[in-house]
Amino acid sequence: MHVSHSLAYEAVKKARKGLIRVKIVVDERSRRIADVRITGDFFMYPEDALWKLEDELRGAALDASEVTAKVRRALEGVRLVGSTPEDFTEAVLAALRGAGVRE
Amino acid sequence: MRELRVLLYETPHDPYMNLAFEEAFTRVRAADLTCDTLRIWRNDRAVVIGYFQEAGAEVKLAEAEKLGIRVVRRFTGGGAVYHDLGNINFALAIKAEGVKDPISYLYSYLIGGALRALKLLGASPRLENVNDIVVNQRKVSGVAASTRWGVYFLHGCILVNADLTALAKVLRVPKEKLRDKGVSEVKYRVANLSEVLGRELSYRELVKALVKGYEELLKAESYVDLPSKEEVRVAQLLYEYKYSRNEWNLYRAPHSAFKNLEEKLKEILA
Repeated sequence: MHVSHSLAYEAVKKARKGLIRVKIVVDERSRRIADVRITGDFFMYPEDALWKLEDELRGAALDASEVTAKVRRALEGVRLVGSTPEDFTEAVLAALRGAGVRE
Repeated sequence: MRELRVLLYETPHDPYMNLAFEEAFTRVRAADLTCDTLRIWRNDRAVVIGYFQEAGAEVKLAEAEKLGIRVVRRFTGGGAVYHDLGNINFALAIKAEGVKDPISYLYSYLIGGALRALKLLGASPRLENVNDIVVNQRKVSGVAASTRWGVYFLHGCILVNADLTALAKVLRVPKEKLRDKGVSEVKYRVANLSEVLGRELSYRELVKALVKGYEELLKAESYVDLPSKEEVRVAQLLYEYKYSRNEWNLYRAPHSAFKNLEEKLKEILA
């Protein structure tokens, strides 16, 4: 019998302009991010930095400081309009709170 | 004097082609196969969502299907908008030298043509929260922009006499947003320009105002043109391999996911 060890968590963060929605799948055995999807009506330049941010987060340990550092690194040099890198960090951490991650 | 090419090409019955053409004319401009262009166009009953959005989170998909309202993704960020023939869209693909801050060029300067157009129609518009155009405290227009492909691209829609009831039926308004704005329904915050100004406005009037607004802003003389053969070919490819597909419209795939398409486009745009 196949037993799934993945659980999904979600959060929504309202930035000054736009919503940031985060869905994270956590591998409970390795305590790492198995998958992440960030969607919303924010503005980000260059646009495809969003997929790089998701790539950066995949495989990250469930640790607030590691996740924060990864979001910061992925958004370095990225121009956000109406939101900040902190908004993205908070959205990701809010989703991870469900998985027991504490700051 | 600088020239501004004006395209009135539209496929209101086929919103997928309308959005494919939006990317097409921008990329053809980027490849220097055309000159600076203003496009004015309409969709009939569609929801257009932003590049980063999850379709199901923004649109009541079952309701939209029931009402015959199609969901199409655009290549710029920002939020979902409802389009019908009472909504006029404008789009610019411009090349400019010496721009220090591309974002402010787009959202502070290039948006100015639309503001001038609204003034010409008798409104007193102001810009709010980066990309909302507000008249008498009601949002009548929103814009989104991109610098992808090396061109300054800005597009927006103006609610002229759109069906706001249909808009409210199909768009989900997240509760996180309502808390901020102190309103209970999406239809109370947006408004049609004709209602705000208290008079009927025709498509022709809007087109004339937008063209004049952008002529003034860009200090350019406009001429109306037809799509070039490259624009048509690129739009057909974008339509076939991207804009008519669920993978693009519903699943939030990046441009890079459409590799075969990009290969085909290279042959035209290189």
